[in-house]
Amino acid sequence: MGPRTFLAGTLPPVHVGKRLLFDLRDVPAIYAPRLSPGRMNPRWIGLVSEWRDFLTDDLAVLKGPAERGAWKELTGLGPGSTPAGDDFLSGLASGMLWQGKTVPFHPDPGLTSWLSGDMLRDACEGGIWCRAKCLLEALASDEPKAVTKSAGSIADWGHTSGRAWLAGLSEALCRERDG
Amino acid sequence: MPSSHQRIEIVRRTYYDSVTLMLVAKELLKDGSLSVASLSMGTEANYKIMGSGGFDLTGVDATPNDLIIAVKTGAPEAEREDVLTAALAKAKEYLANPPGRKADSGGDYRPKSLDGALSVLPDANLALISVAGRYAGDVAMDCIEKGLNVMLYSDNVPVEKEVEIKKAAAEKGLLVMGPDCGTIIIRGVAMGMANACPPGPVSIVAAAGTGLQEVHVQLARRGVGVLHGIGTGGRDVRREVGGIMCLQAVNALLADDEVELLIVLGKPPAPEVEQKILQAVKAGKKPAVLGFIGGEAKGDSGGVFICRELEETAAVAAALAKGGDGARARENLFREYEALRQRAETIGKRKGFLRGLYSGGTLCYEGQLIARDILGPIRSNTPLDKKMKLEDSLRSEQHSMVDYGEDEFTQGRLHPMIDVSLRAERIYEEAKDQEVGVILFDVVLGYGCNDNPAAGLAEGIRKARSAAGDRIVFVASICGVDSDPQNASEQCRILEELGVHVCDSNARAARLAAMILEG
Repeated sequence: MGPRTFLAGTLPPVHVGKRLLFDLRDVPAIYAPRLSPGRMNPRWIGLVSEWRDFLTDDLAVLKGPAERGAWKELTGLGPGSTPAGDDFLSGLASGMLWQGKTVPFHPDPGLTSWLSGDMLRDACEGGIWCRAKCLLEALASDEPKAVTKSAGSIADWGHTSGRAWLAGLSEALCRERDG
Repeated sequence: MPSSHQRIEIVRRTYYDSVTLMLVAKELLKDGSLSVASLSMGTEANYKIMGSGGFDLTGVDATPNDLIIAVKTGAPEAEREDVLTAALAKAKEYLANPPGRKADSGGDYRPKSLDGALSVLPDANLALISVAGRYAGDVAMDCIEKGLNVMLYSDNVPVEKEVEIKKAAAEKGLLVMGPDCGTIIIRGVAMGMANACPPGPVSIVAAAGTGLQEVHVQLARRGVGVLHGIGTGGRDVRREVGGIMCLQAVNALLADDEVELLIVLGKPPAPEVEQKILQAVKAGKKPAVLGFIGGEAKGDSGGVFICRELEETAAVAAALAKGGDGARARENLFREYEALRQRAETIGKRKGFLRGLYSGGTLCYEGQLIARDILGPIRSNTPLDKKMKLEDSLRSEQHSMVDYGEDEFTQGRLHPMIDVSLRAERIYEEAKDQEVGVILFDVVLGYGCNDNPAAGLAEGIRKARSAAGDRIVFVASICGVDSDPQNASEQCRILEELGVHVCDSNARAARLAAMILEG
């Protein structure tokens, strides 16, 4: 996966349905979405654990499948323009891959919207959003400010997306520790 | 059949914090279409308050776990239904998105659990707990197990739980400040409802609340600062708890080289606890002032002074802190109190009863002690003598003083130091009583308190004035300093422009109020 966005100054007039091809070879990449392996500093366990509590109120629908590890049930489930279940699974996938572990599900884009399907596929291939990458880097560090700042930027992301993603990450980073 | 002036709706098993409820009620009243808007939990006390506010509660079956939205309008009959329906809809909309509250977004992530908070602040050594009383004890125990001192803001903690957590804390050398602890000062930094006074050489152990605030303020007015103010909760010095935290705090402060003078403050302890405190203080070899308000203990000895009032405690302590003579400071103060008789004459004597409306519990207690000595028995919801208990806290009898900070007024409602509206209404109600000659009240300032309490009380005072004319004298004390967010001088100006006689302390205000009625 390369850069997801670029700024085009102007476009020629085009007809509806016409396919456009862009040659982006000379467009400089300003963000590399590839996830590098890392490990959470143990001091953050208490903080990361509490993110599982996001699965209440408007995200309560995710709680049952998440606790049972019923990952397929989560695909396309819940509120949000990217269904919150997919955000949860993306967080879970990124957290597992970050630790060098296997993602415990295979994405099934057919069960959700095209955008969400792409997001899930990318996450399972080790692609990650900038804010999430910053958080993982912060979690490897000993810097409280970096952690609260990046976690805050994610919690605030979309209506439910950020919270669901953090809950998924928490699942990846804390479940095995909790037994 | 004419349509009703009121509409009441119950929202079952719903809880909102009292700040939200106050903000929504205020917002509903803004456009002037409603005469009363009340959002409160369905406690017995709130039923009474709504009843006294003129609501017909027939058939209302809300429980303490239910929210009651009650609105009333004086709109013409043809418009009433629409006004009330719109108000209820607006109330629900505001509850979903409370007005005046900052959205919880866009900033750094704030931990929501104790473990999460300790991840971010591993060196933290103090936790402030403000949760429903039935959970507060367990949360406190959790904090103590993690090595944290506790400020326990919550009230309604069972006394057995209080003893359990205090014993556990004492074993670890930790402090439990509370329950029902609204004010502490640690290294000059105030937490809870507290005033913006400078730090200094004095430290205070108090039940915590307005007693601590009043002494803090009175010291500041005398140019003396406070390093630590440790609240123990009002029950700590009772026999059941045995002064566990009072003694722990006294010993900690006596061992602190930065503390030059110690004040121990509160209602009189149980005799055996008082003895232990006296022994500890005397053994500490630091000058100390024991302000046991209305206590029986008498006689200064060595470096330990015994006082019975708040301003007296501060005056003696301030003199000692400045290397002066504590006994002389006390004499001077009481001479100033005597001079209040002249002020009472100048204002003009009145006939009838005194009605005190307090937001501070210790101030109400002290007010009763002082007024009783001048006028005789004072009735109250928190009386000095059980026989003087008001049958109904919302109906004064003869000389009365009401503490609006008592649980009966704060369950599911904001503390009167934050929401002054109930007292403003009561001022007007009292003024309508032809037998009332003086209305006395306190105005407590500081962080966490109403941002303009004088303005909040002003409407009640104006209405009372128009109802009673010159028959009633209004007397108030302001517990605050100019550096407080509300600015004490500005609050004083607002009240004086309304004709209120403002005094520099509660002790002075209570004396002046009683002297105006003295035969």
